[in-house]
Amino acid sequence: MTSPPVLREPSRRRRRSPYLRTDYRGELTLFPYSGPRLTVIAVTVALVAAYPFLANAFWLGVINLAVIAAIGALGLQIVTGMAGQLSLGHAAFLAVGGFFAAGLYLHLGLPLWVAGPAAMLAGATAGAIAGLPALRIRGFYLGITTLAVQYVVIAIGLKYQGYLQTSFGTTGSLSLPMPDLGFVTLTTTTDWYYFLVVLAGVVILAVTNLKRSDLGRSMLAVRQRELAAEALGVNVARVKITAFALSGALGGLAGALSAYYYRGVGIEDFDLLLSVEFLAMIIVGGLGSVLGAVLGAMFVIATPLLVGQLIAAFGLEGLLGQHLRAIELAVFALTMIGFLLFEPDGLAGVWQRLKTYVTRWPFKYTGMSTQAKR
Amino acid sequence: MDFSIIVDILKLASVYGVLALGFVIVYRTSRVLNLAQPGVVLLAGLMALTFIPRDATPTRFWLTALVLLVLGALAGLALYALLLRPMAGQSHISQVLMTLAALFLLQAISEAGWRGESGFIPMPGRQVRWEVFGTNVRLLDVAPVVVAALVVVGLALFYRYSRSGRQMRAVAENPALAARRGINIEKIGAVAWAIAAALGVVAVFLTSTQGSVSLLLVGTTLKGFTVALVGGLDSLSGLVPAALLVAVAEVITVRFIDQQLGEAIPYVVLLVVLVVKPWGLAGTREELDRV
Repeated sequence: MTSPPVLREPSRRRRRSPYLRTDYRGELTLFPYSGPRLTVIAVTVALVAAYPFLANAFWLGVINLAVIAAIGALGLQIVTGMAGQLSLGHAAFLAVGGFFAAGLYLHLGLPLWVAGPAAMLAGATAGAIAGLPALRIRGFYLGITTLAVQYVVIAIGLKYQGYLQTSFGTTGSLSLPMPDLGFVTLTTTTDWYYFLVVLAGVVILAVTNLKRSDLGRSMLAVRQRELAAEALGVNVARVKITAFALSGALGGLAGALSAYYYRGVGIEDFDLLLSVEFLAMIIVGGLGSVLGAVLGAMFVIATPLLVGQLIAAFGLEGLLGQHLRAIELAVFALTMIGFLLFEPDGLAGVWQRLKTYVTRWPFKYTGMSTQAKR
Repeated sequence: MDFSIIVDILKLASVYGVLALGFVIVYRTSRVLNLAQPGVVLLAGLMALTFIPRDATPTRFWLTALVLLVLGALAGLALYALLLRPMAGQSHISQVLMTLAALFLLQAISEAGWRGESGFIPMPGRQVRWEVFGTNVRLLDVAPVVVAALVVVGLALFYRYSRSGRQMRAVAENPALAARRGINIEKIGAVAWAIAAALGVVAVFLTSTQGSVSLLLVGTTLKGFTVALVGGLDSLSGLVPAALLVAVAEVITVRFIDQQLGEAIPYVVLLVVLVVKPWGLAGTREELDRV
């Protein structure tokens, strides 16, 4: 009897491909690493760290806003992109966070490093309450109840703002001081930049981990086919409420950050348009993708400002200056339409296709979209 | 009881009813939330504002109204053909987001053309008023109720007795089966959107019997949306009770409790009703809720 052939292990000197896993550890790592990949990460970190020295004050401010928006967008991505529940009232969570932070300062003098986590808790509570209808209501009706919650929160916020204004004698928006983080006070835009980037990095890591966790996979299952998920033993109502709570927490954090960034809050800033802007961020970025939420946030925040700059650069200010808002709305709408029609996977999808093209070249590889194509 | 309360309730219910119809008609046929409706209403109102001067004769008024009605229907057709039809087969959430994008496009157009302008559409017969049960009742208070009733009855008859109406009901119930029976689903979808947009035009004339045309119309239309949800998104029979319910709640809140709260009351009613009846008062239960 001949002995079975011995399989030889592939030579370790050969370049290890990130697509060929040889052990379970490779499967389980959060971020599969290889030489080239680490280099890319290092370069990215260096660029991010050096950005404040490369860009002028205007664009630094834009990135700050985009990062705050990205944190909020990641919240919406959890509930709408991952769990598949249309949340039309995301601005309400930002309002809750912003007013909670403002209230904590005005009533109790608490600084940002207390108000931030507190705003997250408040947002999570609001989110859980907004998600409570999930126990009874399904489909679009559930999505619209979030819109209802938004309006109720706005009404309450309006009353609260009036009360704050009369009791503290301020007019217009309530004002907040420079944010105190305990060990450092954020005074300049650059300070804000580094703080926000680090914070956003933590949030991104957390959400990426969530996506790969048990809860995250349950959410994705609920999004794809709720009935099947339930049959597989997923507690659908609990997953939905958790998703809403998490989205509320991140929304509340973003709200508190923006309250301190703008040094004030006003309820009129948290309207339906803001909710839709967040929805646009995750559509443009790509539903369900963490990178998508960040890219989408940057896109949605930067584009109107870019349009304004372009108009000024081309000297069309006289002609189009008064139509600025209409142009912003139109660009906004057309971008959404364009992405919905032609790029259902959003910017993250584009990036993914680009990556696979480059990494698998010269092999031609056409990926599969998660959305149905025409 | 003060008769004016009854008048207010009936007026508000009529406006909400016609606004809600726009949403219901589209949802019945294609299971898509027509979030572009507020944009249609706003644009129609602004155009009416421009083309109907203060001293317009009734003839001019009705002529303009008719033209706007036709234009509205055409706009609905265009929205369907250009934006919704290409999205067929994609997830419902994407289709809704497309209608949302259409809403912003329409808002951009109104912003570009009218830049936040607001005003009152001069309605004919605005001087006519009667004294009924101790309250001043204007012709313009009665007109919305009459028009709304006519619209609802007309649509009910259309759905019941006309060929297109029956086809629309078939598509609403089971699109795949309807298609196999030879019904042109795209045509039905287009007709639904055209009717919904035309109803939006009607609605804006109804709202202008008691208020101005302004950006606030978007909010009012969204309240009509909640009425559609309360009644059941695909139900015509639930619409009238829903409109009355929300109108009663809002009028009573505004009059006796707090005016600002009255703005949020339709949403509170929505939350309460949906918790008790998750599909609205008379909506059909959806088994496969793939959003």
